[in-house]
Amino acid sequence: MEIKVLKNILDANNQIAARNRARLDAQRVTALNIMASPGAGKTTLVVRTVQGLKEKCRIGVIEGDIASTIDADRVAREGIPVVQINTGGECHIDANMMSTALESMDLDKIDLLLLENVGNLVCPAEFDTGSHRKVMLLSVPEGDDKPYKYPLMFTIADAIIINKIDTLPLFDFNMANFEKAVRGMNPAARLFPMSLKTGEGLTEWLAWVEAQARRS
Amino acid sequence: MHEFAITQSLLDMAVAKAREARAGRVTAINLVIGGLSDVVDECVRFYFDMLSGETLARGAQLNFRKVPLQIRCRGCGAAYNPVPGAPWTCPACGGSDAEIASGKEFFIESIEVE
Repeated sequence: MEIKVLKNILDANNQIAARNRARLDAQRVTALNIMASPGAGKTTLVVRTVQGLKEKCRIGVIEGDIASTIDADRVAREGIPVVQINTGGECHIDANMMSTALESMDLDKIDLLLLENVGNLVCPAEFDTGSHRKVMLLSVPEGDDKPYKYPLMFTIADAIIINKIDTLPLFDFNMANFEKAVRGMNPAARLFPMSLKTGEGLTEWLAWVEAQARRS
Repeated sequence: MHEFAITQSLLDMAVAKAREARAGRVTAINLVIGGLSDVVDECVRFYFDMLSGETLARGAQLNFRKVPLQIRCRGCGAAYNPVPGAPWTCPACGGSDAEIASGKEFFIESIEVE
């Protein structure tokens, strides 16, 4: 006998994600899920965002990492609450890990939560964590062809940062082709060309993040 | 990759559904997987055999129906299958504005029980 199921395989994850989001909403916390390949600049983005906004809103950070605490230590030096998740080999943060991390974060004391996902352009795109906005970061040395290689990541992102633009003269990265690809597949996404090293483009990004944090 | 978590999840769903129907055994699980997912079938089968040992779904067959990634041009409405990794250029009008028409599927369609 055949029984119809017609249910998403990630249904259990999605239900926990929805609970996480409801919990954050109840505490008026906006959560951004930051995703990128290893080395694109996720931790630097988190540190610069904290430095740029910590006088304006109360920020907490969840650092996802396969095993180390190096990133969490670096962010904690900014004097804000940081919770570390070691995924123990998993290639992404799922809603359950996020839920556990939220237990350790005093949500009464923050307005904005930055989640640094595990460095990976594939799996994090498939797992909803309960964040309100998905941010993806690509760096110039990775190449302008990445949207077509990782279309899921580029189509689900609310904001796409292209980092390390100070290195554009050194690489064959064609910004016009990249923008065309991203605009074509995800016209609603905000694009932020940026150099976290020189600070170029950071002001626009900080303004966007602040606007998301004030949405409630 | 995360095949382990996915396999555990689909096994739990299949077993819950079979219990609901008071079935004795799950003989097959029919999955629909879109081209945007990077799930490796063999990997899922391997974990499934490992995880399903003590459950109603022991020995069940996993059937994967793959749905290729299909793109729909926002300019002229033409649907096409892009070459993996290559630019999305509409073969009808040359436009690059496109939305995903199919390829995001990731669900259990049905289970077969006895």
